[in-house]
Amino acid sequence: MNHMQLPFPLPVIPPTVPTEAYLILSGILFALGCTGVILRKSALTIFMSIELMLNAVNLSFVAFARQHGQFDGQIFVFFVMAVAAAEVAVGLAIIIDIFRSRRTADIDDVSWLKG
Amino acid sequence: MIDLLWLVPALPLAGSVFNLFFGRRLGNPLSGVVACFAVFASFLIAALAVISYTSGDTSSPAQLHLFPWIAWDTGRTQMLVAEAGFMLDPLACVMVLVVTGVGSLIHLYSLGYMSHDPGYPRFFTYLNLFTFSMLTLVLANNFLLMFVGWELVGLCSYLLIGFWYTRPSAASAGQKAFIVNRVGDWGFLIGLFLIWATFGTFQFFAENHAPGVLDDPAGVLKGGGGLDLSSLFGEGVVFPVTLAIALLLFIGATGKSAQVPLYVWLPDAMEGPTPVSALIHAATMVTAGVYMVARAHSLYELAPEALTVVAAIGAITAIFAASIALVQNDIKRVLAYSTVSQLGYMFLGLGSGAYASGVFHLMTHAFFKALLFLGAGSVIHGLSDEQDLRRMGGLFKYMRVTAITFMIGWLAIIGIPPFAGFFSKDLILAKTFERGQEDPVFLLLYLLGLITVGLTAFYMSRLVFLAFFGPYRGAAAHTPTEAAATPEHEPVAAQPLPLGEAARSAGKGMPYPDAHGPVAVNAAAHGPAHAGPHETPATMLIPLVVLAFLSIVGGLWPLSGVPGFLPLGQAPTGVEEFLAPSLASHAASTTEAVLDPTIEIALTVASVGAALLGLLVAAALYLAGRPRPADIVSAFGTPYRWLVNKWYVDELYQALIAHPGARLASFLSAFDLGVVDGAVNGVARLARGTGGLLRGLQSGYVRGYAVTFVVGAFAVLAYWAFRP
Repeated sequence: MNHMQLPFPLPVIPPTVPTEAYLILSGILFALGCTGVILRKSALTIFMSIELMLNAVNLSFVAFARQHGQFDGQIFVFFVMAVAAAEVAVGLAIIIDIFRSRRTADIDDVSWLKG
Repeated sequence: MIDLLWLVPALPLAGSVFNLFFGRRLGNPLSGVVACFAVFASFLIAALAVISYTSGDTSSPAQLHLFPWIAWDTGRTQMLVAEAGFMLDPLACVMVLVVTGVGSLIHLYSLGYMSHDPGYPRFFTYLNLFTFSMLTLVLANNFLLMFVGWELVGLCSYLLIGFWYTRPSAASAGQKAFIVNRVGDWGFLIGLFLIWATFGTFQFFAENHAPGVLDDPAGVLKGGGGLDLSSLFGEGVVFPVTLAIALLLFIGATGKSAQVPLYVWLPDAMEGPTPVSALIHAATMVTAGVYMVARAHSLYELAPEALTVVAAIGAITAIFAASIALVQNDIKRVLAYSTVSQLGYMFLGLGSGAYASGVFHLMTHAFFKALLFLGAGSVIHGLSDEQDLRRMGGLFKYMRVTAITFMIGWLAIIGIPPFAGFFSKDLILAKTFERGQEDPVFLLLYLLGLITVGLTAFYMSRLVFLAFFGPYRGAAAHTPTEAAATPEHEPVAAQPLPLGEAARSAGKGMPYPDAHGPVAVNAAAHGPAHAGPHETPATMLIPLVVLAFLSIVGGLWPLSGVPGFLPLGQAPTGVEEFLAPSLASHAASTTEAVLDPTIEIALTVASVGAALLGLLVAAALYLAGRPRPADIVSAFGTPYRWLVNKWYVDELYQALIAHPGARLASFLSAFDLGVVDGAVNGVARLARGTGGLLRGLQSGYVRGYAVTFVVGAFAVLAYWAFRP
């Protein structure tokens, strides 16, 4: 990867919190989200769990960016947030539509694609 | 006039196309009248063209080039060129007049004969199409165009044999004719390929050049008519290409002209309407093979062995078919085998190197055999579709005109002077004997021909005596005792009916029994008053009278060039002189041995004597009844059974060719269904089975998918984390 060179040096912040702590938090958040996606039946809850997973990833991106003193991870987080916002717009629309037609948001009832 | 020659085939074609589209609207009899006029106008134009041509110089043919049909630059030294062009030379003159003349008469006859048939416009569409095809065949100026006509007449033959297609026997007879003809056409086609490969042209005649181009102007052939292949296969290797071409063309001729071994379709072709039998299967189409061999005679002279084969096949066919005709009881079948036999004579004449005699017999045969068939049709019509000789008899007093004209045809075919058949048959036999002076094989062939004269006289006399003399034995016989009192004939029920006849009597209940269904049904309904024998209407009698006249005078043609009384040896006779530009022998050896006049007279006496002998034997059996035919039958049980069953040739072909063919076809069908279709279906079944297995994964539960993701993601991670 072609690392970006900043026009000015980043202010060096003394490492008060180690990167490992961020990563552990990120892993906990990701595991929570993942568990939510697998175990919860409500579409909305699953949606929120997905957001949790995305943000866990964002956290680890930012943590690594800070550790290496580079912007790449932070920029990537912006992309993830933008895509997540778009996903929320589309996903919520689908959920609302399903709810309107079936009077339920239970994900197990929506199995039309069964082969 | 030669510029108008294209009208001769074009008019019947126009009539055919017209009837195809408007025939049903015009109906009966207008569509038939249109067809008749088309053919008659064609006849007039042909006659004018022939007159204007023969009044000039006939030493070279008159050519009419219409348009180039195929011009293909093969990149070799020669281009593949075939033109659509017509040609008039003395041989074509004879053929075109026979086809249009006899064709007109038979069209006229059909007006009456087919008048009650629901397929009336269709019949005339086919009949006109046939006339067009046959004229294309005889007027073509090259082999390729001739082949087009050749195939078209085969198609028309198929269509017309199976005209009453609702009857299974007619449909299968049509198929049989077509398939057997295909066997012959295969030979013809290969012969054409070889002609082009060898001579580089399909034209019969070079421009302004009297002898055929096929006598090797380019000098590619060695002395024996072989193609020198020394450069390819080493010194001294010569492929007898002209022999191959001649024999292959002759295979085509045996198919179309019903010679041994491909004659089997013609007797079955009698399933067609009787005018069709007269026009196609007696007078014109079946002579196409004779015409073709005569047309290609310069080729045959390069390969004299082929001529011997032609003569031998002709003589064998003549006696073989005549022997079968001896015992047939269906009036049309007797005539059919007689046609096969007479065609054999024509080939005997051609093979003896006397091409003119073969063509002459072709012409006289067209007259008297068309007459005999039309007469038989008249009898069948008058008896409301009765074809069995054993249920005829005494018709002379019911149908005078038919009987008298039929008897003229009878005298002509058995060769009683001065009727037409005598001259042509005698000429052939004399030429064969003459050829026998050089080649003893031909003496044997002559003997076969002479025996056939006797057989012909017997079976034709039997037919005439059974049909026209003695008491009437039909279904509507006046008194049962009278019918019972004539036990002179072969027992009706005691002998096995040949296959075709059994099929025919089974077909009586079909919508269109032979001749015209509605009439038969009506006649039966009207009771005996209408069902008895009666004379046929005038439109059917006029052709009979004209053909009878031609059968009397048609044979006198050779005399026109000869001062003496009989056509004895002083060649060239009138017909030979006329045909000389087309058929003159280029080989020097054949015609030199002119016979002693006394031998000629002896030959004539022998053939007339054989004919009279046959006639007298038939008269003794069937007029006097001493000895009774039934006694003869019981005395010669085994030979009689062989003859009645036509030497079991149909059964032999069935066992040797048709049955293995059907077996092969069913095997191939099973292969197609099992292996070829099986492969295609197998691929589809494989895809479907795989899909069926995989569909189980698509549970439709999103959370299940999510688990899969997670597990997969962990698997990937684990791989990267723990890989060595």
